[in-house]
Amino acid sequence: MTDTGARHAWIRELRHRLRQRPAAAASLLVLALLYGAMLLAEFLAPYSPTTIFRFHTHQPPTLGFHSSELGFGPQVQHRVLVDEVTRRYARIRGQHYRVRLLVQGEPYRLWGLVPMRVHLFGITAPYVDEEGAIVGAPAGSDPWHGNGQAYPVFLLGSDHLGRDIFSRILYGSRISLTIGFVAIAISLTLAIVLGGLAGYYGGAVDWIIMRFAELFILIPGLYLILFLRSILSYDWNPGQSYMVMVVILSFVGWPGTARLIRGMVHSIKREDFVAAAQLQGIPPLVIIVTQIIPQMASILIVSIALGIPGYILAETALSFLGLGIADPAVSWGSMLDRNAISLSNLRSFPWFLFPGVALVSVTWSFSLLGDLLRDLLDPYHQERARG
Amino acid sequence: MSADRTPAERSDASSARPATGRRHSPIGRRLPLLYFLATRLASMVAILLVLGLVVFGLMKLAPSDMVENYIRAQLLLSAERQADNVYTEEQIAAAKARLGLDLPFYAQYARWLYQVVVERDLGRSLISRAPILFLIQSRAVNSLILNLISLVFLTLLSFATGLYFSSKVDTPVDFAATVTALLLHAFPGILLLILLQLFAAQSGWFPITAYPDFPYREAPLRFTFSYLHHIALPLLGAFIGGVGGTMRYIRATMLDQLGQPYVTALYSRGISERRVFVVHAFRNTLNPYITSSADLFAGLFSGSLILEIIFSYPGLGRLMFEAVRQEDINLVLANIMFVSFLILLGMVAADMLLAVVDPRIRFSGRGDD
Repeated sequence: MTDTGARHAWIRELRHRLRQRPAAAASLLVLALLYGAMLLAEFLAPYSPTTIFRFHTHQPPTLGFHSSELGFGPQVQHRVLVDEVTRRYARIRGQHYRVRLLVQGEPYRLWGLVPMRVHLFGITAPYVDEEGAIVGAPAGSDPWHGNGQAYPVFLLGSDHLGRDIFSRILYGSRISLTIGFVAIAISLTLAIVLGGLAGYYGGAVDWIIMRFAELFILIPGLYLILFLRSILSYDWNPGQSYMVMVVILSFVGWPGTARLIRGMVHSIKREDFVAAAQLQGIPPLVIIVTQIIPQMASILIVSIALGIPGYILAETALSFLGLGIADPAVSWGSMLDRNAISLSNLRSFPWFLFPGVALVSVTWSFSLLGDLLRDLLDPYHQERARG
Repeated sequence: MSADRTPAERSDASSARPATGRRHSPIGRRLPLLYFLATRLASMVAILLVLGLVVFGLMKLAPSDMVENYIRAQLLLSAERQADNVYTEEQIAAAKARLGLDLPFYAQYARWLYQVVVERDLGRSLISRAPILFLIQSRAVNSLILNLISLVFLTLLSFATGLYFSSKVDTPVDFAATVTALLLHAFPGILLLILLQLFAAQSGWFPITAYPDFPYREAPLRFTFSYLHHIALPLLGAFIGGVGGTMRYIRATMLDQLGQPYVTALYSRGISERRVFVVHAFRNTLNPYITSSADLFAGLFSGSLILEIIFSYPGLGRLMFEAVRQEDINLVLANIMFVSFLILLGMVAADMLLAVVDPRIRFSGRGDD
């Protein structure tokens, strides 16, 4: 795999397989789009995840494409709350706001560095509250100035506080789409070190490490997560709870991978090149990481691709139970919080489930892709699985 | 997370379980099955003991204010109770010493073990004051029933579909089935349960809770039917994802077996295709499946935790969740030990089954050859 000829062949093979399996190609595209959107979240989202439109809670998707007043083109019709209890809105005839591209809006720093105000789309009309009074700045000046905000456009509806679900999905992807990679990086490191040592030394070391791993396999994953969560404190800021969650998830996830690695190290260590490295006096851990692990790179890639959805779903489960990410931070799991998507809410406001659509598209994409990679890189997985 | 482990990983995970047997011991030769079971049971007890030690060690991570809350809750019960529940440092320290919380974790663990094994007392819940043994007993039956039914359905459905589609390999039907299975396997369980509940509510065909609202003793027959009606949808949500993964696994194992030389040999002796399929190849898929079924069972427990919360089913998962929410350390501890005990029991049961099915294991005394 080191010379360029072999590498080209590998890429050709991948292309060929992708053409054979349009579903896997599509999932590659979906993932590229989602991760791209995650990087440009501030620009693509019309509002920040915490911007609250007090008079626009529980609104369905509002974007329209035609009216007699403005003709064709993206636009939003003015809505007024008519029923406080069921949160039903009436549309006002003849009152439309055009949705424009590249509008000035809430200021932000792109990637925390570049100060910007331009958002991909939005409405520049000043915000008008229920009584019809303009709370925004006078016409002509900056609509986002002071407490004034532009009239909201909700691509995917608004939540129970009047926050834009589309924006929150974009910002939430920063947690939901990265937590899998961070958690798998930690758990893979643990697995490589512990599983590698177990497989390399064998004997007593192997026995101790693998029995330790079994203890974690014995407890059902969610129970272990809940237990670890219960003995750790609750009041954390979002950054801390993200890190704690990552650590918990990788703690629960490493034993399975460690077993896989142990088995493979065990068989590879008898090869001549390992003996050569040993004779040169290279320390065992260095041999494991630089000589043995690259031999199983393809299998690790597969296990990463197939493992990531598990971590993403675990985050969702934890946040769903109210033990994960909480306000003001946002993740897809926290948007699918137990209280937010209660049965009565879902019956009246089905658009609350849009974060779930994002979630499904990500887990499906990773699985389809992982499946393709496994067929490509690990044709003998069936035989190894039987041991 | 174990719910999302692929079957391949699962069987890989369980194939390296502790090998306690010795090939040439005299008892092992005379009564292989009995000897095998005895060693498995012994190692099970050992694992449980160590597990408890690890759990108690992890408890040391708990922040000190939680320990203080626990002490306050205990003081509330005791004779030294103050009217406004305010105590001096000395009182708290004294209570801490009396409860043994100042001891190192292994000493605390020994105390707990003594209490559980000798006095048969798991303590009381810090919140509801109910005996924990009673709480767990009443919930465990429900959880066990739910997960065993899930496991049975999962097994039957996966084998039926896996066998069927392995005979249809490389047809469009087979392709559609494997893709569907993959998508089912990767569908978020929480979302599936929520959608099923929404369906129950919108259609009105099924109740939105998972448990009848009257006790079993009142009307056993009516209860059973009502239970089945209540449990149907959540049960579907619990095992359908697992069917996706397991069916693919069984199909792949079948295909693998059908490519082996012994199958060709069977065909050449004129044995019918059906017989080769059902008797020979099928038999050999049982072995890896049984090995992985204990992990499957653990995965079902994880999944049913969410199910119990969404469909308000009175099982161990909801008990655990409520205990965690209320920082009821006593209950959390007892709960996690009990669930691990159940899973371990499942593993030993799987091993027994394996030893019955596969003579190699019985006679070599180890499960990982």
